[in-house]
Amino acid sequence: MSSDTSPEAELSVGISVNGQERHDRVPAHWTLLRWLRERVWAYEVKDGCSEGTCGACTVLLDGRAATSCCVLIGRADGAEVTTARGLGEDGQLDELQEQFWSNDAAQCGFCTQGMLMAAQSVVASNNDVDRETIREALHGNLCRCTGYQAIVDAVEKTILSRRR
Amino acid sequence: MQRFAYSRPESLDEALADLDAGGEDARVIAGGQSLIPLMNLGLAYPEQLIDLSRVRDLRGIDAADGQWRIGAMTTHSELLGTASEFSGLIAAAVAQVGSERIRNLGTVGGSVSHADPSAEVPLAMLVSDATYEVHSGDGGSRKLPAAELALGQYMTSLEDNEILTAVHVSGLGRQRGWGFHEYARRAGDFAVVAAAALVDVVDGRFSSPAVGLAGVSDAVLRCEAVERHLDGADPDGIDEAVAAGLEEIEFKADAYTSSAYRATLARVLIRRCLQDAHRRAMESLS
Repeated sequence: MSSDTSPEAELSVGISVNGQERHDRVPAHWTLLRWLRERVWAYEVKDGCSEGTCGACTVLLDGRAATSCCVLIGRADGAEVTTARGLGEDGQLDELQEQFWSNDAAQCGFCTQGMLMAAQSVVASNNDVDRETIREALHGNLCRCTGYQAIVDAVEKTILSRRR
Repeated sequence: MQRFAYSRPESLDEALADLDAGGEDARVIAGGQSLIPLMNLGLAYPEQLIDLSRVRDLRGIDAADGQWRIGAMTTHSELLGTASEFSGLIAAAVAQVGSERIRNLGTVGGSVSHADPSAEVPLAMLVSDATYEVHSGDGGSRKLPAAELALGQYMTSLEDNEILTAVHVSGLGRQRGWGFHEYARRAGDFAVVAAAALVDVVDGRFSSPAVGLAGVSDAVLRCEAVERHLDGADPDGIDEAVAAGLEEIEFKADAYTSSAYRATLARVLIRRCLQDAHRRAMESLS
């Protein structure tokens, strides 16, 4: 047997959240999303569909976008997690967040942090990025308010301004 | 989500030992992108999970003599980065899996073992005549042709004490043309119907075609009758061969999609795959 496997057992985990190392004992059936909200109080990470469809709970897991509702806490053990709160420094908005703000890319705000995190790979990419590529990068994230145009605008302007 | 016993083995032997000890209540979990949603929704409630994410031997892609071995825990994103070197068909299929964040965690072995009848990766492997490497808790191992894995929806021929550890597939020869098309209701969804084709072209005619469908019955399907009708036909004969070859397939219906609509999608998507495959094969010859 490779470890304690009883259903009551709690796992000892060490996870870095936005640069801060946290150690905790967590029931094995918790998802990363549940731990972030209930223990870290990272309420910016939203609990939407629980099945990986809506994207509201998207975070970076070791630098890559992941749906935190579909990650067991044991899988996240040892990882670096970044949420929208970790994007800017010293309480300032980063450039993508600023563009969301100035382009009215957020209305109710429920999808916003997931959109910000899902856009990270396309914003960081050095390739030529057109609107279709941006839409492809964001197609796993649902927004029921904006109609998406403003969100794509915000991502596109961030990419263009970084290239200047 | 209900509680479950949980272990994170660091080697394949440990994982097999845990699985053997757990009996029929134990399941392995790979990337979790299908199983965790089912558990979140209360549709699956395994009593014991053996998490393979720390088993390093199961990751990575190796090549030797035109044969590729894809470790079961290789993520879709990792495969997407390499697949175009050996199979345009597999690259195209993997690119259609979910969204980027699902591809970052979801694995090749998990996808084929989950045996979703609408899934793209099992379809690509079936049409590519892939072979699955399977290890069991009693120390044995076997090779399983892709066509013998899925028995039905989410059901496979894997025994309770077996783990699918790798996919073996031949690189496409330069002259082999491929096509992949699917129709899904929203970007990133499972396909309503997906089609895949691999062909050789000799004197302008199809030779040794391989054609498959996902989403039309309770498992991904090789369309052997289409292949028979197509062998030796030229591109003008595609419609006739496909119509004749699909006659004996019973297309399933569900709340969203009728049987007749699935049949129409299948015909159109296979035609597009074969046109693409023929063109790609001709381009490689010129």
